Amino acid sequence: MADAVTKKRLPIRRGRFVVPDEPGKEPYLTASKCKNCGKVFCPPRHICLNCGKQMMEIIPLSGKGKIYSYTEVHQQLPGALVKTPYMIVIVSMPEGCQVHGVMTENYKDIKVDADVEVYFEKMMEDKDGNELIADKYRLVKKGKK
Amino acid sequence: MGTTDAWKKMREVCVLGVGLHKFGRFPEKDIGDLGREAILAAFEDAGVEAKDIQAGFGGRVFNGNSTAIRLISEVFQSGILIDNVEKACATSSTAVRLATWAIGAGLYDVCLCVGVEKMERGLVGGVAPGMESRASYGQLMGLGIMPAEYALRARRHMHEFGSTREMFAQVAVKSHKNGALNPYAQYQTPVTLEEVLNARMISDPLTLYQCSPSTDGATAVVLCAREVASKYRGKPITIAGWASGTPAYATTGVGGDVQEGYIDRIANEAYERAGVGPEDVRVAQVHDAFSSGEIFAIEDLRFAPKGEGGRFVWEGKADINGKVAVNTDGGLESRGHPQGATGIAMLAEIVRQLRGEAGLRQVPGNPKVGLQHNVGVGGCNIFIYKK
Repeated sequence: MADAVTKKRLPIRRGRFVVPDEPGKEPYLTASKCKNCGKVFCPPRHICLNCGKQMMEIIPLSGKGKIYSYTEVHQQLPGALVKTPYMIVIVSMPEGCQVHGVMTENYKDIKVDADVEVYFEKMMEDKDGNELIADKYRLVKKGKK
Repeated sequence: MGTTDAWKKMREVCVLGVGLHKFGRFPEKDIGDLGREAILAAFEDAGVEAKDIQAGFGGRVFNGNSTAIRLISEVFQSGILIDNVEKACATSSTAVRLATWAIGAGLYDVCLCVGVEKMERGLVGGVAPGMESRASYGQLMGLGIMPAEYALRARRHMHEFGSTREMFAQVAVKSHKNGALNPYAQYQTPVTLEEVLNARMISDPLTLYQCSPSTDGATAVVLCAREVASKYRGKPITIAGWASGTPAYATTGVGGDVQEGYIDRIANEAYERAGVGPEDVRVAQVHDAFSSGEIFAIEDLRFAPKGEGGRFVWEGKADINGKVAVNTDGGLESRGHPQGATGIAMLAEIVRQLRGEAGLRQVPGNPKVGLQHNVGVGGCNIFIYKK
């Protein structure tokens, strides 16, 4: 087991978001933006599906978007760490891409076009005791910036 | 989407005979048992023998390697070319398309296509216990669930067009009503709208009865060049047009099987090749892996305008006596969905309908044109058949 000093927060799978090495800095979603045509892809990819160029730059996403569609899942997928019932959502990000993710709490008032934001939660630990985290989404309460 | 008009030069290809093993759960049978029965039934229907078959195509989705040769070898082993095919839920219709190309190009006169599946219960796409380290992000996070894809587009459909839960549920009511008339269907019991709406929720708004089950089953078809069809006893039905493709890149939408705009493009190509339009189609077998899929297909295939598919089903226009009889054999929801076998089951139902051999579920008025829409994660196949 790692001791408290060397325990890290790591992405459960690499690619969708970044966990900064600096202590105290929050993880953030990333996308790739084509420097030729401007299209944005999340998760990031190497080659633009719109223009075919290989001129991507990695950009951070604000993590705040709007619900495009949603469904509450009641049938458990074997092997999934998220337990039913939970919500699968498609979030339209202001940067121009859509992200597929899950909501696990307080989603009763969800509707199309509702404002949501990303947060990161521990899903499991690896064999060294590091926290493996993933992105989840929650409704932004009215009046909250 | 091809760059040439080579398809115009192809020979006319027809379906000579079809055969099915009943769909359901058959723990005591292996894929050879299922496939043998389907192949022998297709031979009987076509009036051919093993020596007439010049090439074979087929496959399954799960544990799919070398399936086609395994099935065909249950019946004969004459040394012909046999290709194994996999295209998820569109596997056996892909086998049919390859045979259509091969016969159309003049390489063979008579081909056999087969599809089979034996499935575990529950959602497909998960990871087995102990295999979590190999799981993808989507598997760990419970994303990428097939009913959810169809539910996500259903929710958008409700938002954009005012479709209701009842409209999606009505698809399952109709499917089970038709399935009750099909002795080969996995489920042959009608259900009421209330039973569908009150059934266990799977992926909101889709309940249990609105989801295709896991199924064991096998299907087979004998195809031939029209110019040799008269040598055999089978009653030929012409493959008048076909088209196939995959979803194109889009910035928004649910994507995958239910990507908006994807089927429309392939359907237009199939209609053009067949020289018919949606108004000519009297019977259609469409990919209702989940009930909302039938409504999307009814719109994408232009049986109803965009947004009107739910009302089309609700008003009975997709019933056996309706404007376009859709999923007359119970569809994937009720006939069952043994993934590798489904494509040929759709074809078989259209052939029986166009021959006038569909019994209690026969579409009235001597239907002359039928359409098949079979979607897999690997792409979509559309076929148009003419009497």
